[in-house]
Amino acid sequence: MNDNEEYDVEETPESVEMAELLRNLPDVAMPEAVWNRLATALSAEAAPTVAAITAAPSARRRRWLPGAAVAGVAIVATAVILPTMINTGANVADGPKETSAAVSLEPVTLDLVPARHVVATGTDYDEVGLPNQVGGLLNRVGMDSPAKMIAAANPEPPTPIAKSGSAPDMTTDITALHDCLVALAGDHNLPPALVVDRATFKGGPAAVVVFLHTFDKSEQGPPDTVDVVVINPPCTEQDRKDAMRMTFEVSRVTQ
Amino acid sequence: MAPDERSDAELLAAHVDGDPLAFTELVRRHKDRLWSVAMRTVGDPEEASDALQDALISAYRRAETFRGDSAVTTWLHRIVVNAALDRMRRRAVRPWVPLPNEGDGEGVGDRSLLADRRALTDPHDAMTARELSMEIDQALAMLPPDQRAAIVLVDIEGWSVDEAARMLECPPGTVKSRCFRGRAKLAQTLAHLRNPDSNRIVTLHDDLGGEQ
Repeated sequence: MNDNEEYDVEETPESVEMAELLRNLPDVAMPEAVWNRLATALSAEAAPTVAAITAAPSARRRRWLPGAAVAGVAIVATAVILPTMINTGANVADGPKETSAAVSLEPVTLDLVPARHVVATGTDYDEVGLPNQVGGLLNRVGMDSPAKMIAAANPEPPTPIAKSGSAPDMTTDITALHDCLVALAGDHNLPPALVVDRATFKGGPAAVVVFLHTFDKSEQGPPDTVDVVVINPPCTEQDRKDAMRMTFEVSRVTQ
Repeated sequence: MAPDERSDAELLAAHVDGDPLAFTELVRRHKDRLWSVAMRTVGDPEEASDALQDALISAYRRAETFRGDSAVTTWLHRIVVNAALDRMRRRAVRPWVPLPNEGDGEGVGDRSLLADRRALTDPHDAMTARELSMEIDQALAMLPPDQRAAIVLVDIEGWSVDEAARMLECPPGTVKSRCFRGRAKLAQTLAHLRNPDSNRIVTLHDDLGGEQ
């Protein structure tokens, strides 16, 4: 009897009994690791249309620093020499929909800060949406292609840092931001940051910092990558130890 | 973050319109069912994970082809189960093991096999629901892929024969026959679960002490 043959089946008691047994089988819950991998892959699909971030080949076995339960996200993209002056976050391109309302940006002070942009998007980051959210952030600050990231290496006049009503920390205070980024760079051997976003991570206060990591203009070169670091805004020594760090590949498609 | 209250169809439409988070939310909503289908069809976690990713990336890219003539979940299940079957056919990662009576038409539905005296004398004490579920999954993994997929969709996930036929792109009668033959083989494989006192195979319901 051919399996593909269409014919009427006369149910037997055993068949009915087995069907009942099978009907009571519970769903198998998707393991967290599988979901993270899947969500990263889906986010990577979205990335070329909204920003320059795609999941790195290592996404399946994602690397996390110890203490990943930090209540903040810092994204760092490093490559060439980056400017040490802060730029405005106000003249930004349209990014993807944020998960919460963006915070208005107000000038606070002008100073030399080792970050290209400091913004307060109001985004609530999480591990699963991170690639997409980072893509949106880079879009927002006009760095929607590797070429523009490289261009960000050119010094520009310093611009204001976002103001906040909360207690001073690296997302609200120039000195604190400076000290934190210098310490982060020292801790992880990173260059100055491209973008700092005062935001939340799974609902808790967080700073998202983006460093350009590897950039090679040759076709045969290694993939361009960015590092993502999540850090609690007070940026204490312990916060830096607990910071979460991810690596993504910057898609050449957007160039 | 507040749960997204958009319907499945609205999420898919939003994805097509460029919402970068909508599709992930749609998948998140149904991830356990989709995983169950992939896992039970493929029978191997790594392969199931790969099949699911292939399927959902494909669905992501061709979402605009969804015409709305079925539920979004039906459409997603169809893509997932076919990706799982394609993967199995291509790579044969878990070749199924034919049962002794495979193909000869005998022994299928043979009550004497179900009444095998290897049956547990007291399955309530000997096996937890989890162990029973695992044993059934293992037996399921021994079925030919097409029979397995039909049983996963109809018997386990509860889709109608007609819906399963649309997903598997075959006539309803074929789905019925695959289910019937697959159940018969499962009954053979799981014959030792039969409780000789009741002459009835132990069920998850029994094992949970009558809960549900």
